[in-house]
Amino acid sequence: MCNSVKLFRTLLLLISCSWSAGGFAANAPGYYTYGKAASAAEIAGWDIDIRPDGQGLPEGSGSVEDGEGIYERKCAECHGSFGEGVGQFPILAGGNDTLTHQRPVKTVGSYWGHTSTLFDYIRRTMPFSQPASLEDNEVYALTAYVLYLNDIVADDFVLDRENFATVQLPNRNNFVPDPRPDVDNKRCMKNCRNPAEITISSSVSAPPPAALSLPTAEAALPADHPGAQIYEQYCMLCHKTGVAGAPMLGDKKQWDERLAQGLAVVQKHAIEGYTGKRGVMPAKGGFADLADDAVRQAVKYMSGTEQ
Amino acid sequence: MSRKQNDKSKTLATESVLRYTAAATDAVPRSVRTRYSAAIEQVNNANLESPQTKTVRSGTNNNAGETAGCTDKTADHSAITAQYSTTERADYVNAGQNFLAQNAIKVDTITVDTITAATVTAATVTAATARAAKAGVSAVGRRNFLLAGLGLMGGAAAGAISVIPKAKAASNLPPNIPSWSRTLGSGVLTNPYGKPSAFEANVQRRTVDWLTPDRIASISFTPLADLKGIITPSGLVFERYHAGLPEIDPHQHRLMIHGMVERPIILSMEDLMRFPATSRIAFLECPANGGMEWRGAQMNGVQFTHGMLACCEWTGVLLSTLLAEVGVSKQASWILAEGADGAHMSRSIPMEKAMDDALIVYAQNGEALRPEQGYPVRLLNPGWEGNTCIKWLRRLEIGDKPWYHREETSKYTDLMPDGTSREFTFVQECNSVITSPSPEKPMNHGKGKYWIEGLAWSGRGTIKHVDVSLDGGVTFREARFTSIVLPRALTRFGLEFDWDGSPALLQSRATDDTGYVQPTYEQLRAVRGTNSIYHKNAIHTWKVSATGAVQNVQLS
Ligand code: HEC
Ligand code: HEC
Repeated sequence: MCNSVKLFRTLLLLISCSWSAGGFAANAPGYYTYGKAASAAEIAGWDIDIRPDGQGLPEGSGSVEDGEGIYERKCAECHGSFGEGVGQFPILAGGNDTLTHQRPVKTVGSYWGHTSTLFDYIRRTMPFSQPASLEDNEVYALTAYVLYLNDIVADDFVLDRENFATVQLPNRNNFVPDPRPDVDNKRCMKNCRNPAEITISSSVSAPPPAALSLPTAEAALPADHPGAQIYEQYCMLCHKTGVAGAPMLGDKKQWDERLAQGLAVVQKHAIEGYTGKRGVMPAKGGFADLADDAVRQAVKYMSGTEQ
Repeated sequence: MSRKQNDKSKTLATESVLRYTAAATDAVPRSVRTRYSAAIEQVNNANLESPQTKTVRSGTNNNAGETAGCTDKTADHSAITAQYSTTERADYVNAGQNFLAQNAIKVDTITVDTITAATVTAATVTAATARAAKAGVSAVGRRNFLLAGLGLMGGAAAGAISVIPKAKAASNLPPNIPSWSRTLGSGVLTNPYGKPSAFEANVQRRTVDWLTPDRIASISFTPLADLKGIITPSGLVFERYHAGLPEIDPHQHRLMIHGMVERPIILSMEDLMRFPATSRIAFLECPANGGMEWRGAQMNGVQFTHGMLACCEWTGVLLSTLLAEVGVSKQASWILAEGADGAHMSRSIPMEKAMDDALIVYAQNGEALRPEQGYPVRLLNPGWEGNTCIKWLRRLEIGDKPWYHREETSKYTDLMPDGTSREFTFVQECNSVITSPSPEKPMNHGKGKYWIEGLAWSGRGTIKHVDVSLDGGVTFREARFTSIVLPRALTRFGLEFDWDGSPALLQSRATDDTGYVQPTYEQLRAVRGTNSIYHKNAIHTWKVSATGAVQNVQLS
């Protein structure tokens, strides 16, 4: 491993052009030779990042006009046609001059520092449900369009690699380095404050969610389902929490798997009882007097099958 | 979830609680009771099979459980779509109130449910037994009666409490010999991968739905109140996803290191594990931990006020080792770390940190990283924002400037009252919280001695002191450390408290070895206002009422 040429190179690198680890003499590059060399093509496939200085921008261009159509098709459902945000999805436009307000609205236009961030982010992960699915030209067009929604470019603007650096965001100069520690509390042990001056300025009155809030779909199931009451009276004992291996109410996957044998079979099992892979389902849950139909309804309810 | 649905579930839950309570206190018709016990008998008998069948069965059971875990995700998906249309835009506080309102409802019923179950097991049975005994219990028979009662309660109790052993609760207490001491337990490999007792089923991560539009780009919280020591069990470490939890085949996962390096390389997991390994215990905290409390007390449990926090033993290769291997240019000063998830989460990391203690992690608490934590490999920057610790790490690009990506401009920057924003606020400053008592762990033993405990941590170093106040910060007493004290790791403290039954205001205040003392809300807000979202490390107050209930409050 350690021939003299290599050793020489090591020394040279250490002295001249490499970072070395926290005080320790680092190994020479390639000391372990594990892995494989990354080819230019391999790197190109994964190297998707863009920097404010434009490093990483691909060839291509896109207009506000093109952007509008793509945005309407692929983005508006969540971010709104004007970037106003649907529901809780992020607002992409507006909020100018709100950063010192009680409720600042932080958007690409009001808050972000660099156009490159927008291009980079859209390309790496939007649209939300199909990350990294956009063509480079689409990303240029969408970037242009979001800038347009923020009144940063005009409606005839075409964004490309060359003019990219000319598009600057209003808030770019308002980011400052971390000055912390920025507070200076003292370690006081006695008479640290006047007890008479202590008041409760805010409090939470709701009790703690101490108990189970298992993510079952239980609450979403229709309670007026004819099977619901039967379930609650006779089946819930085991099927609510999975006692003895009983499939739980609302556990869609479990029920879908079971329903693969056909609803009729599953209902038959519930009526006649059976021993499965997970445990024993007593006939009618042990309530022999229950009508077969009632059990069938309960099964439908539990398994999320339409009534 | 809409308010309407919630109301519905409230009614549902309340009704069922009533029903259970009724059942347990013998309002249930005799025929029903008898049949329940018959059903249970049946289950029980069926379990007396050969050990072999039993093992096989359990194995399948376990698998099924795992797959069932995945279902939730799919189910969530559809829930989200449904939610899209129903969610109203609500600003921070509106949303908060909404949450409280919803939670009050939800919690209300849940609490009743559990308390009923618990109390019933301990008290009602005894009462019922006594009553039954007095009445002579001619009709039902004492044994059947108890079986029936317990069977019903089993369903009500939190978690999947097994029907077996289904012996009478009271008869498990001294001087009697408990049923589990008189029967055989299940065999080895009942759970080839072990899991917590079914009685611990309520110890789990939870989320706060109003915080995020969906559960794909969302967060869940560590149940701090129920944890002990300083290591967070892997399955309880809070989750934070930006594009959901990816399922990555480690054989096809690669880590690429390129940029301003001499030898750009691609490493497989196998390659990575050949490098000299190192392990360290470090906390992991989302910089938004407690961010909902900037404007005022809002969350009703330590799980939600401080639960974006965990501490594990992490094993992997020092990033500096890998950087030496590729030969980093001396002009290089930043590294872009990027994930393989749909978000391709990316953060710029200064070279100093990379060369100091940044770790490329493939194992957590002694086993492979959990998927939620970045399986098969993640970055860990001890003491820094959890967000910089890129999970599902696929790429490290070496450069000479930061990238200013979305997660370091739009997010994870701290907006100040003057409209400027602090960028690259990496360190998680010294912080602490009392985990018991807490809203989840009320002081319900009346007057007397209580053990107060909690956690302290500092991204700058080691915890030096934790002081506890019982009077809202007038006087403090130094707590003692009950765990190993490590730099950039959770440290557990404890203090004995003799409670006279009068209302108290509990606080903890940590000091680290740089001399930094955890600040008050007042001090933090004086500098940062209330809109900076991240890095809230103020002294936290729990109000203890005369009944022992514990409430999240803020003082002025
Ligand atoms: C299904 C809903 C959905 C669709 C469709 C969608 N997004 Fe998003 N978008 C989101 C969510 C959710 C986030 C926040 C993700 C996170 O925080 O990790 C987001 C974040 C963003 C952000 C960053 C906002 C900020 O303030 O940080 C931009 C920019 C963006 N999306 C652009 C787009 C564009 C352009 C499209 C169309 C190609 C698109 N989105 C389609 C849901 C969506
Ligand atoms: C004493 C506990 C218990 C009660 C009460 C109970 N079940 Fe079950 N049930 C089980 C167990 C355990 C299984 C799982 C058996 C297996 O798959 O191995 C099961 C499985 C089932 C299945 C799945 C059948 C299949 O083919 O996969 C249905 C349907 C079902 N129960 C319906 C009901 C209905 C309806 C009631 C009420 C009338 C009820 N159960 C009451 C324990 C119970």
